[in-house]
Amino acid sequence: MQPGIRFGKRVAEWLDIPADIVLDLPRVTLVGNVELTLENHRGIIEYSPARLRMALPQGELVISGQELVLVSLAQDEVIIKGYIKSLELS
Amino acid sequence: MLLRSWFWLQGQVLVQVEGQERERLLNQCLARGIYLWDIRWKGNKLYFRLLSQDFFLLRPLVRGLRAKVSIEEKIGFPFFWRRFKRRRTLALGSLLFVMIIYAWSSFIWSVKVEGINHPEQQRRLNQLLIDQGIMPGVLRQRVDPSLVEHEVMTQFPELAWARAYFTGTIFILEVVPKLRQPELMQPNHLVAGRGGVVLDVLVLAGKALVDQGDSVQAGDVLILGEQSRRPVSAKGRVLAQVWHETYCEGEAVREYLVRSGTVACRKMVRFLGWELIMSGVKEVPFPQFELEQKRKCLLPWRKSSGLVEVIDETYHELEGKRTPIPESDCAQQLLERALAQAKRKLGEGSKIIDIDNKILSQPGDIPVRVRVRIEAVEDIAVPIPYYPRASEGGIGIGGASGEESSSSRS
Repeated sequence: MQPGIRFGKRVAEWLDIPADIVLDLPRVTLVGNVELTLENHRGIIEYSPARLRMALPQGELVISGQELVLVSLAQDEVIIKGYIKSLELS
Repeated sequence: MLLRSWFWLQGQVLVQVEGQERERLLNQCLARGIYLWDIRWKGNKLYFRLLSQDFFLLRPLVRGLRAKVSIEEKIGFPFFWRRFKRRRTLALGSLLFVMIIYAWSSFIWSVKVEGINHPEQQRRLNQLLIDQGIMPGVLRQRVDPSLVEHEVMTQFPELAWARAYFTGTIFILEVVPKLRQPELMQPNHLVAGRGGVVLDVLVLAGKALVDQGDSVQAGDVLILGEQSRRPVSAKGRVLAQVWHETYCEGEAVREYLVRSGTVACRKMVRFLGWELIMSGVKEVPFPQFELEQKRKCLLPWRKSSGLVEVIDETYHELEGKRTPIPESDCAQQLLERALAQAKRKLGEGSKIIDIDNKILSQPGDIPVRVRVRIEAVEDIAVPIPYYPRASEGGIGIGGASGEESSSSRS
């Protein structure tokens, strides 16, 4: 873990503030395997009906599934619907 | 849902993207704050939706990329309105359609009476509604359902409840008839409704006071409402020979009407039930007249009488004439009239035994006088309630129900 992130995590714990605000982390909300909401993303790297790669502040999120549809694409939030099989953070 | 409705009001376009660097295009849209939704693949083409006003912001972005963008579909109110403005007749027709539907729905189209099966009561209720001005073609605003309910309850005491309301263009009157109250046990005698000679007495309850061959006057007690010294409701049948007599007189002349030769004419136009007099007399100047009408339809419509009619009316004045007729013919007519009057006096279930016709006047007498006498057999017993003294069993209501004895004396 980088020194800056480590410090931020300690501050968040100490002040009892959510870590995604302090550390600029993405927030992923999954509803079953049919809907995924991703907040604080950095854009799309690759998009196909079976695979979606989203850029994050640190690394990327790979969503694999079937018939993936970007229901809403806004600067701060993206909503994805379809049959989600796996998520991978890298 | 609210957001989608707002997008529809603003106007949206469905865009098809072909070529390379499609993800880059999406990212550039993100960077410029262009909101995209419903992004999906169909085959090897990418589709998304955006507001129609944002579409023009896409053009500089696409220029630098190896992608081709085209509009697949235009959706929303601005596009609909643009099409609508070009077709003015359609717009006018739609507006007219809405106005006509609104105007027509302001009238009563049909009237229904529910909750009553008796045809006579149904006819009276329908007549009351017509008297109150409720019929197809009347403006709904002119009808006050609460007033109709009040009128129905006032004029029909046999009804327990009434409700008048509108369902769209249908006026419905719902009524509930009263349940018949159970008859109270009221002691009564059976008395003679008219005078006659008793032929047969059948007693079902009570005590017979007359016998076969007795002559009775109207009001005489026939069957006493008492049994074993207890008051009862007398029941039975008393057949008696009765006579009904009627008298008629009249002159031996025949009165009839003939045209005097004087006529009055007028011409009028009838449009949707309204009549407008175009020429001729306004009021008919004769007390007795015969009317001749000639109708001409200006706008015939299928089998109906037409919307506009021109009516030519000719009124012929009538005057009375008297012609002498033979006295025998006059007497015959008077006898028929007298017989009809006498038959009207007969009770229900009467059996005529004999009819005696007699011409009372002499030949040459004015007027001619006749008399008809009908001899008949009928049940003359009429119930008359009475209130027994306390010593006879109290007020008598619900009193004695002594064993029923039947005796026939013939």
